[in-house]
Amino acid sequence: MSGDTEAAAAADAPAQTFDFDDVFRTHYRRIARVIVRVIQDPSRAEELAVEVFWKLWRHPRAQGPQCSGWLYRTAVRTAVDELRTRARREKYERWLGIDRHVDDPERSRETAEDRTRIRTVLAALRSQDAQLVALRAEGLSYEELAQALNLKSTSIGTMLRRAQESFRQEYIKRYGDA
Amino acid sequence: MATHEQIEQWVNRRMITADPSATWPDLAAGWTDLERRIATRPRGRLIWAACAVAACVAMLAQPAPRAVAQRYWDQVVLGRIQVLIADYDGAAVSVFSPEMQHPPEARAVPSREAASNAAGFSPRVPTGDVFTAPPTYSVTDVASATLRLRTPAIRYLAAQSGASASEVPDSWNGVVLEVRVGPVIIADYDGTLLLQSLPFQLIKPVDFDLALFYRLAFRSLGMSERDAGLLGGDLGLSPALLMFMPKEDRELLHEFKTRTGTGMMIAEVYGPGKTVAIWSGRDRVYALFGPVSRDFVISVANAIE
Repeated sequence: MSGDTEAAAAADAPAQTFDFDDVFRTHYRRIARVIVRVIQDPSRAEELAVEVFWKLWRHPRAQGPQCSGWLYRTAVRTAVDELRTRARREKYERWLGIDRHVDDPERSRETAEDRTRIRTVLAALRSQDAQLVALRAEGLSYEELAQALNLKSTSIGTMLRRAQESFRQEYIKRYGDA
Repeated sequence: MATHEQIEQWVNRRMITADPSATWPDLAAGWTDLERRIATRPRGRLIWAACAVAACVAMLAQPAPRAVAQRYWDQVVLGRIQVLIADYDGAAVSVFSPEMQHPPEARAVPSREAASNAAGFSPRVPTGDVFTAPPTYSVTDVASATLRLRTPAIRYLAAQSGASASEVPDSWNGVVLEVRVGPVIIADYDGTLLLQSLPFQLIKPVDFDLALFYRLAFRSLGMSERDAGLLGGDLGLSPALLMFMPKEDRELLHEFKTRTGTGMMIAEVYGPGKTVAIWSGRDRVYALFGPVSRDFVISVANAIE
């Protein structure tokens, strides 16, 4: 970061030292991976991951030693929101007869179909269930899940099990157990 | 019955479809994008806020000869601004958001008198010692924001929200609502900007049912039938500029009271610590941009009117 933005960030920074660059370097990849698991669209996931860090830059109160929990929480919520917005928009565009489908020769049809399935199933879950499934798939521990989603660590196992079971049931209901 | 471990493995096997390569995403590209966003977002948000001044509603009909148009068009003065917190990426906002036609450029003028001559009205500035030094002035031309109505889209949104799609008249399709803003006089107090314009104008067909339009817009944005009806009827009588605020920015919005009414402040509009405040006064709409506190905004508003 340099120039005016650096000065502005410094002016906005909390009293304790907070190395924004270091936080970005440490967490950006994992944040992007959490998002891509939910929305299944790598280029959009990159944009949303940057958006998450931009929000962190704007919110000094989130900057501190516990910022990783805030980042995961914001990332997964942003991703689930994006998923639902897309679902609404696609429905709306279908209704208006707008077809945005673009063939991507780099992706096999199977992969594209798998991705669509994941998006559809996650969008159908309760928001918190979708967040739990996505963060757990990215390898977060129970403790990290609890911190990221502001949940009690003692009940995280039960909630995760229910969320994953909901995912499985929704998936099988739509696509079978293949 | 499957154990939790088995279910977890089953779920994660399917979630792995999106597993990207180990080097994805590109860290440097992400950092460059973030820097660009930090650097450019303020301008975008400044435009958004100034177009409290621009996010709105309005209307024109089909292209028509000017003489004919004058007979069928109607101008309504917008006395206030209605802020709607909304899902900014949602269909309703895209259907009801106008497009700003060429944001106006400000041109410097040498004096307050020159600003009056250029804008066609005399600027009101705070009395007393609210600011320590006199301002420099600039003036913009009239800006306009337009919204072309699409009946099928509005019907769809109405039906989605539980309203009756048949309420949307066929005659609305293709109609363009227009809001005209300005000229705006900008008084620059060493980086703190006081903007003022005469009330905005809404250009619409004479028989356009504003109350119905507002009610359907509010319903589409998730308001209850009762609330939408009350607010729509209210705005039909005293039209307001509709301004959509992204949900993520909700916490940045605060109301304040002046001697003459209520205004709103939006924090961090164009950078950390920077604020925009917007309020209506006697025959004027004002905005104050800069690193200002709520108390300072109120003192400026009260010292003007």
